[in-house]
Amino acid sequence: MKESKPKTSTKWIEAKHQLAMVFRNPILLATILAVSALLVAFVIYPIIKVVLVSLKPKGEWSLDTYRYLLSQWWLRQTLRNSILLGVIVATLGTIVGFTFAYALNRGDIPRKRFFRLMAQLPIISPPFMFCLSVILLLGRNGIITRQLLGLKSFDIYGLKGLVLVQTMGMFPVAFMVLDGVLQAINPDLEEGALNLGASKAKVFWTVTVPLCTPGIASSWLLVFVTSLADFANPMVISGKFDVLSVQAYFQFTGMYNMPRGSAVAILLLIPAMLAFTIERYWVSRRSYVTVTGKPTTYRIIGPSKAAKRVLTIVCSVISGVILLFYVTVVAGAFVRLWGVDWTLTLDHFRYAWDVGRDSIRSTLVLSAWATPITGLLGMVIAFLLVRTKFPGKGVLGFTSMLAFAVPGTVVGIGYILAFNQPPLLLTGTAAIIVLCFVFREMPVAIEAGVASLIQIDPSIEEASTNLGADTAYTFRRITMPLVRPALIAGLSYSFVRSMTAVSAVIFLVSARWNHLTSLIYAQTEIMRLGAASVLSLFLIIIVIVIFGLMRAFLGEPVTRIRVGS
Amino acid sequence: MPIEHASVVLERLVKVFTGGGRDVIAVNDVSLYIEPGELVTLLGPSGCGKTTALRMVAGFEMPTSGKVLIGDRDVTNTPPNSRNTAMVFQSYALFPHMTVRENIGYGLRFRNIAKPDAEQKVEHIMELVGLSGFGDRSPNQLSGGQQQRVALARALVVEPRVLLFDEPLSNLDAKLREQMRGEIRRIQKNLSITAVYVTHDQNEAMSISDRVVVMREGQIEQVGTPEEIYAKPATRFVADFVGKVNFVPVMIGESRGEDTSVELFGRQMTIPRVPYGAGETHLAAVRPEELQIVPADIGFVCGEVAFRTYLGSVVEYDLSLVDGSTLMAVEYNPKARPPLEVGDVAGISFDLGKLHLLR
Repeated sequence: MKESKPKTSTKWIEAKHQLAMVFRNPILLATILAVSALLVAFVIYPIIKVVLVSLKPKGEWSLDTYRYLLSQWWLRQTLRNSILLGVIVATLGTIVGFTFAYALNRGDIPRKRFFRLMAQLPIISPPFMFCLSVILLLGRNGIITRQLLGLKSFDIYGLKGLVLVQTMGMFPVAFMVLDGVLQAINPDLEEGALNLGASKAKVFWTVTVPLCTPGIASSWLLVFVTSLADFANPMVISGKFDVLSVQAYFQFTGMYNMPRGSAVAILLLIPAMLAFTIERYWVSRRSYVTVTGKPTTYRIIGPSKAAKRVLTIVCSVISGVILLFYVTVVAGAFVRLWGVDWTLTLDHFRYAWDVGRDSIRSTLVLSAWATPITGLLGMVIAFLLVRTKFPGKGVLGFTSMLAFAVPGTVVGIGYILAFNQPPLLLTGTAAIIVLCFVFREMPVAIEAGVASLIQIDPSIEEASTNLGADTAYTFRRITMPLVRPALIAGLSYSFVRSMTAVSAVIFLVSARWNHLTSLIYAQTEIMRLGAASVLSLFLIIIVIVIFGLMRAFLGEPVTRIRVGS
Repeated sequence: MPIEHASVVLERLVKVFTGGGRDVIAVNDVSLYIEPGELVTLLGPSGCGKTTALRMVAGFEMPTSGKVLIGDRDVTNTPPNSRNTAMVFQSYALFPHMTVRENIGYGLRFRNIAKPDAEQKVEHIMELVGLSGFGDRSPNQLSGGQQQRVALARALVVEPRVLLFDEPLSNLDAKLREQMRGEIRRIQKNLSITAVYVTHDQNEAMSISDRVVVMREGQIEQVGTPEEIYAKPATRFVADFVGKVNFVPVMIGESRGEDTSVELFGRQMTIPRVPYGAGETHLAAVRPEELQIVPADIGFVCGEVAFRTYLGSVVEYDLSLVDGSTLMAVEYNPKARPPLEVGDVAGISFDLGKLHLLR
C-alpha cells in the first residue's frame, strides 16, 4: 500500500463517492435526511431559540440582559454557588466512585454483588427521594437531628444538604466510568511492578492511579456536569443557597421574564458544554486503556490487609446510607405525621391516590410512548454512525449526543420557547413531553446501540445486502434481532429515565398532562412529606418491576450503561 | 441448475482511502478481464489490494476511478443488492439467529421465487454441498467446515452471475482446507460459474484457479495460469511469492543465431537466445527442484551443505557457495542415493535450456 499526504482532490472525491453511495440508496438517503431534520428541530432549534431570546430582549439585538445579570451581585453569587457545588460534588463523588470501583475490582472485599448493586442504585432512584429522606432524617423534625440529638436549630437546607444528596446520588456516574477503566487495565502491569520490587502501596500510587488518570478526569467532569445540571435536589433542599438551574426556572416561570430566564440558562449551558466537550474530545482520547478482547482471568494484586479493611468500611458506610434513605422513604409513607405523630396509617396512600391517580396514568402513558421511539431512533442513529459513511456524519453524531451536555433546564426553556407557536404549536400537549423524553434519553440508546453494533461482524450485514436485501430490510431482519439485548436494555433504561425525569419536563407539564415527579415536588413543597414518600415509593416499585422484567428477558442484570446528566 | 455465464471486467480500477490524515492507495490502476465460467484468483500478501478489488466487484466499495462490468453491464454505480453477485466471506457471516435452512434460503426471498420452488432449491443445494439433514440446526451448532458449507450453499442457491470468495478457507485447519478447496473447485466447474477468489495462500491459488492474478501494492504483477506463474514468473516478487526460488545473477553476452552467450558463476556458457542486450545483468529464477546435485567436479559450481531438512518424501539442502550466497536444492526420492551430510561438498547443475531470466 502506498501512502501519501491526502490531496484535497482525493478527499473531495471520497466525499463525492460517499454521497453517490448514499444517493443510489434512497432509503438510506431518506433516513439520513429525516434524522437530521429531527435533530435540527428538536435538539438544535430549541437551544438556538434560548440564545436568541436572551439576546433579543425587546425584539432587537442587545446584550442588556447579560449586562444586567452580571452587574447583580446575587446572580454572580448564584453562578459562584453552582460552580462551587459542582466542584465539591465532583471531587467527593469521584473519590467515592473510585473507592467503590477499586474495592470491587482490586480490593478483594466480601459481598461484591451487593456493593455493586448499591453503587448503581442511586442512578435509577426517583428524583427528590434522597432529599425527602434527608429532610426526614436531618431536617427540622428529622429523626436524627431532632429526636436522637435533640438539636433545635440545625438546618440541613443549603450547601451541606446539597453536597450530601448530590454526592450520594451522583457518585455512581464516577463509579461506572472508573469501574470500566479498572476492568480494562491489565492486572499484569500491577503484578509486573510488584514483581520488580515495589510495595503494594507503591504499586497503587505509581501504576494503578496514573493509569486511571484519564478515567478520573472523565468522572470528575461528568459528575461536575451532572451536579451543575441538577434541578430536582436544589429545588427542594437548596434553601437560601441559590443555584443557576433553579434560578433560571424561577426567572422563567415565576417572574415570566423570558429573556432573563434564557440568559441564566445560557450561563448554565456554557460551563456544562465546556466540561462535556473537554471530557469527550480531550480526556477520553487520552485513555491508556486498550481493549484487546483477550479474556482477563489473571490473578489480581489486592491491597494490604489494613487498606482492605478501610475499603470495606467506606463501602459499607456509603451503602448503609443509601439503604437508610430507602428505608426512610418507606417509613415516611406509613407514618401519620413525621416527627409528631408516629402512628402507622394508610392515609397517605389514600390521599396520594386521590391527587396522583391522573399523574400516574399520564406519566405511564407518556413514558410508554417515548420509550419505543427513543429505542428505535437511537438504534437507527447508532446504525448510521457505525455502519454507514456520509459527509457530515461527525456533525450528526455530535448533535445526537448533545443531550448529554445540555442541562434539562435549558432544554425545558428551549422547548417552551420553540414550540409555542405554529407550525409546531405543541405547548400543553402530550407530544411536547414525549419529544422531550425522546431527545433527552436518546444518547443512552445510541451508546448502547453503538456498543453492541461494533461487536457484530459487519460482514453479516454485508452478506445480507450481497444476497439482495436493501438497507431497510437488512436493518429490520438482521441488525435489529442481533442487537435485541442492547435494545431491550436501552428501552428499559429510557423508560425508567422518562418516569423519573424532572428538570426539563417541569417546564412542559400541563393540567392535562402532568408528570408524577412534578406532583412529588408540589407535595414536598407544601410539606406533605408522607404523600411525597408514597409517590416516591410508587416510582421505586415501577423501576424495580421494569428492571426485573428486563432481567427476566435477558437473563442478566444490565450494568454498564453510560449515563449523562 | 443452469447459471447464466457472465464475464467480469475491471477497467483501470483505482481505490484511494482517505483517513487518519493521509491517502492510502489500496488499488492502483487494475485492469482485468475474467471470462465467463472462469475461476480467477487474486493472490498477494496482505495489504496488496486484493480484497478491496473484490469488494468493488461486490459493490461494497466504490472505485475512486475506473469501472466494473459484469456481463456487458456497467455496474460501477449499481448498489450491491442489485448486482447479483454472491460472496463467501472469510468469517462466513452466517446469520446467527436463523437456522441453516433459513440462512441458505435468505437470498431467495428477494428473487420472486414461489415458496415450494425455493424450498426445493434449498434442499437441492444442501444435498450438493453435503448438508442434508442439517437444515434445522443453528449455525453455532455446526463445525467450522459445516459452517463453511452453509456459507457456500447460501451463495450458490441464488444462482449468482459471479461468485466471490474472500479468503473463505483461512479459518479451517489444513486437512479440511484441502478438502474444501477441492469441493469448491468441483462445484464451480460443474455449474461453470464465474468466480473471483481472493487468497494469500499460494497453494490454494495454484490448486483451485484457471488463472492467477498476483498483486502487489495495489497493482497487478502478473496474470497467468498456475503453470505460467510458477514456471515463468514475470518478476522477482512473483517468483519469490509463489513457491521457493533461487536467484542467480546472469551477465548477458553476445547473441548469435539461436544462442546467447552468458556469464554464470564466473563461467562462460550458452543459453537459448534471450532478448536482452550485451552487458546487462539479469536474475535467473531457478526453482530448488530444478537444481541437480552432481559430483563436485562436473557441476557449474560447488556448494557445501550448510543445512539439511529431512521431510520424509523430500530432502531439502541449503548449499553455501564460495561467494557467500546460498542455493536451495530439493531432492525427491531420498532413498535413491545416500543423502548428503552437513559439511559435504557437492556439485550443482541445472538445465540451461530452460533457464528463466527475469526482466
